[in-house]
Amino acid sequence: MAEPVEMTEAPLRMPLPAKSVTGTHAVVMPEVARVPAPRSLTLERPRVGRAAAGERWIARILRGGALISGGMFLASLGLEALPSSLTAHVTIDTLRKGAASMLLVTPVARLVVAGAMLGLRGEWRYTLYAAGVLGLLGLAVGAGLQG
Amino acid sequence: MTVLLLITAGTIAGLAGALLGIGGGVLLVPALVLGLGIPLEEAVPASLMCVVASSCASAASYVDNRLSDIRLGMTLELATVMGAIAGGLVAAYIAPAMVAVVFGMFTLFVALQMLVLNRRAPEPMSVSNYAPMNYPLGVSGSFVAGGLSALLGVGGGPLKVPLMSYGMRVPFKVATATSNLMVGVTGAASVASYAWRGHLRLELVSPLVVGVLAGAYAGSRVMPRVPTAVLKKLFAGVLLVVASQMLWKGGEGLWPSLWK
Repeated sequence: MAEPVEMTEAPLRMPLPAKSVTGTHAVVMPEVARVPAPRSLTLERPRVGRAAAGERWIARILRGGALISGGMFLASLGLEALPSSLTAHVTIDTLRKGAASMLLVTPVARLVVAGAMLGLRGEWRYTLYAAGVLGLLGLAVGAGLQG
Repeated sequence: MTVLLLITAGTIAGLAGALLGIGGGVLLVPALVLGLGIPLEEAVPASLMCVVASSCASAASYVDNRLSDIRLGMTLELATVMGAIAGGLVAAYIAPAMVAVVFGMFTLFVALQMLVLNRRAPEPMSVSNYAPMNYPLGVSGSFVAGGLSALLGVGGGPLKVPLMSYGMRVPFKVATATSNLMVGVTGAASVASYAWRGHLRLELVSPLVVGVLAGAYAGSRVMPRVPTAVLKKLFAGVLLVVASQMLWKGGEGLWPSLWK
């Protein structure tokens, strides 16, 4: 996706003479003329740099994970109110396991995106930190599977 | 009725967690143990799950508003996860009453620290123009916070917020927002070890998480407008109440003859 370009109504500096004489009256020309950028070149949204775009993605991942898992947990609570049946029981169980997994994966996904975002900006130290955290999490989960 | 109570408890915990950067576990564990009579071994993993939910819901808003310090968060996260794994490994060998006493003493310490240090250390003026200091203290403190998170189900926030605010000279609101961002990963690491041992009760977690998400969303909207002094007083007040409750409960379990 192409990155949006910033176009602002910046003051345009023109090399004009400080004074121009017309007859006996001295007319003082303004040194700086404020010229609005053409409508076609002015973007409606403010500039979104790589940093801001990365942060926006982190926020989207966190919000999305929270909303989806919350919705699944809420649906499981709604199904509990229905008359008990095997299908409802299985659905509730599946929804809850899915919601819990989604919730646990969300901060990990956030960490991956944050590490990648800072790596793309040349801040490799933070990418290494993120990789370290992910490695330790993997180690903990692996140890839990074996234990 | 119990479901409604759990949703309400979750909402309050989520609201407080988002406002104060404590994840909500610090309120939820005593509420579940003392209020609803749920065993501590089940309350801790459930509250850890809620810490993850609170972190996701509130941190989304704080990252959007550029209130969370992502770099600082990632630096401290590594030490925190190491501490959380160490804490998760020893959690199975420690008695619940002992955990309650440690929890009580820990929260009492943090509350007193907040009340005493609040008057001494001036707050940095801007939430955007500051530089974190004293990284060795921050990293070692985060390791301890991670360990306590796994043992007590509190997400480590009650230690990390004062650590960043007073130890590293980070503005209080940035500290709470960054703590909210970090406690998600810590909580996920801790809850994974509980889940593999079969201690995670999803029927208990479901209503709690629904409430926590609603509370955390509301809290993250309100927090930027609340004065810092009010947040600090709330933080200390909540911790004092919780400390007294947990010390009582832990004392009852460890020395029953003294309580009778």
